[in-house]
Amino acid sequence: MTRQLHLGVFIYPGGHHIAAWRHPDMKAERITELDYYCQSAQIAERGKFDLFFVGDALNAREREGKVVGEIAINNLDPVSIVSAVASVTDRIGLVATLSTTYNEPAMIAAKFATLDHLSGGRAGWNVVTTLDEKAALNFSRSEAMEKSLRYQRAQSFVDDGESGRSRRGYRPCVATGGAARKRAAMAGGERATGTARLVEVAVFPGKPTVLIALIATEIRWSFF
Amino acid sequence: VRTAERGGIDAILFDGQWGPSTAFNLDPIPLIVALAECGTRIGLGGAIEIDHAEPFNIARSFAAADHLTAGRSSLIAASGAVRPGDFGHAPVRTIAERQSRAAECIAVVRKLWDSWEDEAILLDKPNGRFSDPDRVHPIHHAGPFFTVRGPLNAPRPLQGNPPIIQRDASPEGLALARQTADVFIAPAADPATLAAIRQALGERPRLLATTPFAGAPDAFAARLAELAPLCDGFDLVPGMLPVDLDTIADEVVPFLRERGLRPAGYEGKTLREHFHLARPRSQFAA
Repeated sequence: MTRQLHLGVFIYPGGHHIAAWRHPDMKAERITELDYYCQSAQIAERGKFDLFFVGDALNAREREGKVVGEIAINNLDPVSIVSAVASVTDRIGLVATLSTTYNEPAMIAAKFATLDHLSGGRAGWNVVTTLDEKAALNFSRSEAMEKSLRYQRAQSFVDDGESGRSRRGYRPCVATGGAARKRAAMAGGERATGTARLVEVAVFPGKPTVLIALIATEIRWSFF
Repeated sequence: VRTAERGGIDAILFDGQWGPSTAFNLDPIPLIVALAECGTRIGLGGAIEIDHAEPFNIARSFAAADHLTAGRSSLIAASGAVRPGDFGHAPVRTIAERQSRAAECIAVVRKLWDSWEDEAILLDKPNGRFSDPDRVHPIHHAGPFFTVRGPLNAPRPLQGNPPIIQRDASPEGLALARQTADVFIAPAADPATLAAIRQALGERPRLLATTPFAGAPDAFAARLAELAPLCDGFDLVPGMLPVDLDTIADEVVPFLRERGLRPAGYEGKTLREHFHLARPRSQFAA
């Protein structure tokens, strides 16, 4: 039998093109509204995509101390977006990004366990450690956590999550990607076989962004 | 949610406490946003243990929730429920310290919600101006518990500030609510307790009394009508869900409507409007 591919869609308010919000067909006022995300997820589900993926950032994009006015907003809170679409979809996986650097493990576990129940077992957590150093200034820190510490902390989160879930015989998918790529993925690689399935991500300009997932133990992000 | 909306209830509040007293709780942010599709008018409140949460995360979650629910979200700011071991960072705090931290946390959340003025989003396609950088403000908060630069990376919630609900009726909790709550839920509905709480709260926060739903619908509704002068409304606690909610929607609410204590239907669109709370201007607006 021919090997089959996984397909995901990586959404962004308006789209990943930097000026997508200016397109004449784009109703830019919709990008904070429920229907925009519901419609997008339903289209992806119509196309039988495996997952609907929402990235995250924890600081506004700035230039010379001011927010950059010519680009659209960051994603709204990813857990909120995927929760919103859970009730209008049946099958598509719902993957939200949440940072291990600026959250507590108990809170993350509660959020994804809830999402997993409400969605009938479709939740996925994209584990990131938050690359942008400016985020630290929004969390009572004068500087970002040193990189190796960030990844150690991330590793312990995933370990905690795994043991918590296995006690209940229940394991939502843990996806690692974005800034968390190599270290977390490789550290978790052997253990994560069978749970961490994401890999290779390609972003194609001019088309709906498509995330192609292959079973792998290492994660690569390629933008081209 | 659909039953409650049929009955014209202002809001459903998911107020489970974090801690050992309950087997499990659904986390409020997945929950209230997942329910957004189930109604168009009813408010949806979710509890956050603010003792263990970062104000940036709270502000960001509820900004999203408020947009996705079209202005129907509410933050129930819970404090004091600690299950040892759940939160690695949490040092033991005195009650006074905990209250100071909670007050500062809520102040920072409001600053972050206000960091984008209402007029900040321009959507000016010809000139390529999505937002007006002069109307988006770093908050530069520096206090004893939090240092937060801001701005939030989300537009201002539709309600400006989603209503903040509290229910800690200890002296410290009431002092905090007087300063920071939009709505306070009293733990009981006896006249003496309500009068004492109203005095401690001041006139500003809306005061709801808690009444378990019990007895015949007519008698229950008559009791609410009798208590009505002492508070601004009620937090009804159905013993059995959703059966009791049907009775509340179909028998108790009509009784209150006949007596002019409830409007015939929703008069506003947002939860602030249901509570008759004015929409605040951003504290950073000129």
